[in-house]
Amino acid sequence: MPSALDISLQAADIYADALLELANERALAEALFEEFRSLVEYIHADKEFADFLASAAVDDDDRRAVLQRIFTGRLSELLLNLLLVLNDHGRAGIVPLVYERYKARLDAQLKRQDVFVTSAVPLDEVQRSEIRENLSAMLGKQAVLVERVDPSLLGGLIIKVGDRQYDGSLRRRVARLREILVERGGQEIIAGTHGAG
Amino acid sequence: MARISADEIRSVIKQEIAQYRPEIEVAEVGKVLEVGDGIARVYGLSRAMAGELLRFKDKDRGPAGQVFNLEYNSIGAVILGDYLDIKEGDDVYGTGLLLSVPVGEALIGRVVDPLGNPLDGRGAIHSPHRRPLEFKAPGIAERQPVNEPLQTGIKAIDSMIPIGRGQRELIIGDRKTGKTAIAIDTIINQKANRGTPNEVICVYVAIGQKESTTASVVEVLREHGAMDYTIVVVADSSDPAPLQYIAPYAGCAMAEYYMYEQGKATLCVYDDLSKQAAAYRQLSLLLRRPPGREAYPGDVFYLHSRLLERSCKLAERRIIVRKGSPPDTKQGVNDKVYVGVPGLKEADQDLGKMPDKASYEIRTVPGTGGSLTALPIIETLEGEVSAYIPTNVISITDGQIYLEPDLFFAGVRPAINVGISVSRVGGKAQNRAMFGVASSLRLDLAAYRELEAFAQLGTELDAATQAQLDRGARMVELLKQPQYQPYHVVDQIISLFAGVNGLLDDLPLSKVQEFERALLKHVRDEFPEVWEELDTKKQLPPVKDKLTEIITNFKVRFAAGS
Repeated sequence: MPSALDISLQAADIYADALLELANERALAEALFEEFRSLVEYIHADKEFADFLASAAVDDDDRRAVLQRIFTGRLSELLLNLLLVLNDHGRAGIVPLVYERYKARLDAQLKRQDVFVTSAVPLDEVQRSEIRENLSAMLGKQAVLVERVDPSLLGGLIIKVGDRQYDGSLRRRVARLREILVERGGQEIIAGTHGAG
Repeated sequence: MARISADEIRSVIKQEIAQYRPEIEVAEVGKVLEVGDGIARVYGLSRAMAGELLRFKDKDRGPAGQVFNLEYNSIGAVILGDYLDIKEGDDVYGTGLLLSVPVGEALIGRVVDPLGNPLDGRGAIHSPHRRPLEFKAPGIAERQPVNEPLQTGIKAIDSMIPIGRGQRELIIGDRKTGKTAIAIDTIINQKANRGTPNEVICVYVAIGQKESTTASVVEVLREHGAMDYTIVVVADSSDPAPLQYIAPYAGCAMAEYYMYEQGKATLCVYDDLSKQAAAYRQLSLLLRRPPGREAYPGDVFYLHSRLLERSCKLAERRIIVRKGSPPDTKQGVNDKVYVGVPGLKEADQDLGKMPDKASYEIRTVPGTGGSLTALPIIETLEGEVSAYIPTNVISITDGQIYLEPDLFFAGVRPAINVGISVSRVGGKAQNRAMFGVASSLRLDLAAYRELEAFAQLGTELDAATQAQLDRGARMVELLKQPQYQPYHVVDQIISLFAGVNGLLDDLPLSKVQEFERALLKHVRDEFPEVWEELDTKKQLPPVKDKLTEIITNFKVRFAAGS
């Protein structure tokens, strides 16, 4: 039995498909993406607005009026219409999900992919372009770096592409070394007691 | 004490540094979307397999999980361990492995959780062997019918409900009727076989029980020296439901190691499967699988059938070898391997055709013919055996032992209702001498139960009826047995022999148990040759007259002494 979450994701897929088709017809796909991203960033930043969208306590008609009042003239027609249609279907809460799915589809269309790079210290421009080039060659797509700095890595990089994580960090190596030592220590102890007994 | 020198550690580190290559570890990762009640919903991990082992937070050391549901865009996973540590947004690593547990000699005498982690405070378990938790049951060709008895040491069971090695015998009854006691006595009784080729390795799986109960069971086993050949797997009622769900599979895997790899006889007690079913129901409902009868999920039958189907008697493989060849010989003189029961006949024929057959013999190849006997336990509510789980397990097993509170409180302990308890396959494996006494025992008891109701009306009874009642009452008395005192099969035969042949009929009812104890001691002390003959030949007729004489004479002495 699919969970509520899966049903929302399925719905988001359908809306994202429709939106991308429309945007492509009007050659607005990328412009719409930028606009959509700033909207979703705003939703994430403003908890009250997110609640206003998702809450079942707000009447759909009231929400429609408010959305129209706020966004008419501020958002493109396509995006505003999306909001209103979602609202009419009682799904205004899945706007961020629709954005995620839209982004995934647009990335596939433009042959680009987000790559999450975690490093111990900030990357410099040379490293950045080197990583980007190598990954692009490997993926056969344009790699878009999303960087994060985590000093606990000690050194090296962790690169995440889709579901797959490539861990080349020093932290990992040290952890492995520790495991080997502990294991050998344990074996020594066993051998020791056996010898004594 | 341990001898870990700084030099050694330094050399290991040096070696590691010398061999250091910028190795990159590749892993599948996902994110926890929601978590609670031992269940996590995971986003990502698009390549995950059903049943795959997951690790939360840390790729090697983090809490384990298992993939249960593969859905449109997420995975439903159960968390095997402390789920309170896991938060929304944590990383989840796919391992590409199935759940497995450590198995082997290192586990003997230990108390472990269903993942093989020690619970007894006696140090880490280092075992080179692992086995998957879920393992396909052996097929028809690999099995053979049960042919050796598994002695429980309980007179009522070994005589009338005999259990064979490889059989699945359900122990069913209300709470507090002595279900666990039967299983524990059976484990304790295997002590006599310790170190012989007849050895039975025991696994006791405690599922959803009180921690104090489990602790006392372990203590009893230790006290009676039974931990020398026993593994205890514990998922208590305070453990998360997923651990309670996997516990019987873990115990089974530990027993399977001995059955498959060493050809040994093993015994698995699942105490109890009703709690495991309840834990599985909890998981399934939390994962939103549709509920069925009594809110159990649709696959609750399969839950138990796939577990109990793993018990079996593996076919023995035999070869013909020259007499006196080393015991680990694996190849026969004619390069043939004879499998199972049909193989034995064929081997006999082939041996008969050989020119100098006197110098050859048929041998079982070492490491074959192992068995896994299962004693699942089911707790009923108010004797309701037609509830969902009891009927399921009754239909899967090869017989059942019913325990009844009425009998229990009437002082008949073990409180086995022999009228409705059955063993569907064990009779074939029963000791022949025992078979001889047991058949009339059943009849005596059946007649007794029929007449018992009449007798209570206080009507005048004719002599024959009265005699039958007296006999029955003595047999019931004889079948009573204190806890933790399993009887050797020969002792059982002698005492039942006395009963069914009417040798106890003239004893006062209150003296029966005392007489029995004294008689058994008397036979062991003064007629060891009779005892030995019964033990080795397993035939009653040769010693029948002698035994009758011994008992009759002893009765006179007993009467004089008391």
